[in-house]
Amino acid sequence: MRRWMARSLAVLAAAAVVHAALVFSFPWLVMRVAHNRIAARAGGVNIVVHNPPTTAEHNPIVNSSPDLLYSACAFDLAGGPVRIRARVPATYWSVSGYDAETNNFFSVNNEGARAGLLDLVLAGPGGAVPEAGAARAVVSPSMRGVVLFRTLVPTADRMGEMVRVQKQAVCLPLAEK
Amino acid sequence: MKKLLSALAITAAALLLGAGSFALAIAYPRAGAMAGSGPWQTDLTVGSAQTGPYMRARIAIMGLFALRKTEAVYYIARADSAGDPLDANYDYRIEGRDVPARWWSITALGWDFHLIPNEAGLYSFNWANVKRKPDGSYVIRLSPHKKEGNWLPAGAPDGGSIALTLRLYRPEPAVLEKPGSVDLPRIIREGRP
Repeated sequence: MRRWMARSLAVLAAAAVVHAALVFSFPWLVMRVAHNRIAARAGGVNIVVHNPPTTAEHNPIVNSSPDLLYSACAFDLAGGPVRIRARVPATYWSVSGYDAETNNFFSVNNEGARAGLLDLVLAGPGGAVPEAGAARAVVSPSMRGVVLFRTLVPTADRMGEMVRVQKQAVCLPLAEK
Repeated sequence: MKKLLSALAITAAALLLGAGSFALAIAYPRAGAMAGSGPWQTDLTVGSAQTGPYMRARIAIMGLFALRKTEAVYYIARADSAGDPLDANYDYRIEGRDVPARWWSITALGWDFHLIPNEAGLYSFNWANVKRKPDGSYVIRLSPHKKEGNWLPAGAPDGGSIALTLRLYRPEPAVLEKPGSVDLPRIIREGRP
């Protein structure tokens, strides 16, 4: 009887450890996979990949919005800050940053961008934010993460126009300017 | 040998129990963890560093790259307004008006939270493309069979459970203050198609 109780307690204790490990590591693991996939498609880190319109067949993100065009950049700030530039339309548009645990640590939308353009410098944690002219600066909580651009296609007849806007988003090491 | 088998059995049982309880905790959040308005459920901590570990894991699986509440609020419906689970075997009327946000959209999803394949290539309606009545309200028909007006394909009959996501981009302060008091679309089951 005692042996069975000891075994049952061992199972419960080990199950609790497995459960907690999954809860806390899952977001990190999913983000790591997403980061690697985006970088592979873009041809490296700190390079934007522009996704085609979202359909059931091309659905890069679970529960993604088919009304939006998505572009993404897997950033790695170990080599220094990254500059993010984009043309900003009058309709809904946003750029947002996600840290290594999936947290959304910044977002700028079309109402917050100046004069139809976005110019932003993303720096790593702990480092000084460099001077970058008129660009606004954002500090990431983690060295690696993902920047995601969302461009709304309000109606199907504006697809071509919005794809042209989408494709003007870029990420590049600040040193390249 | 007996001890080795016993250790293996304990390890296997612990893995099964730990992974199973994790899957259940993700699939069925505890009551009160989310704010509701009719069948629509939301959590305003989504996307932020303040969100709890279970919600963060849930988002990693069901909605990676969610935005913080000031940028977007996401409502999910897995049931109709009568409380019955959404089912691809039925027709539904989604009746609503503009919600307090700069832009909104309603998307139909399969049980796995991916878009539902359909020949028409229709997956959602938003404030710009939904056909409206003269008073500004709209009716979206969620059905596996083609409908007049705002048809949102629900996949093949027997396609199983489905879900709807309502996105509110740049929500107004009232949404952030009382997400359960927002007047959101009603989802009415009409019977088998």
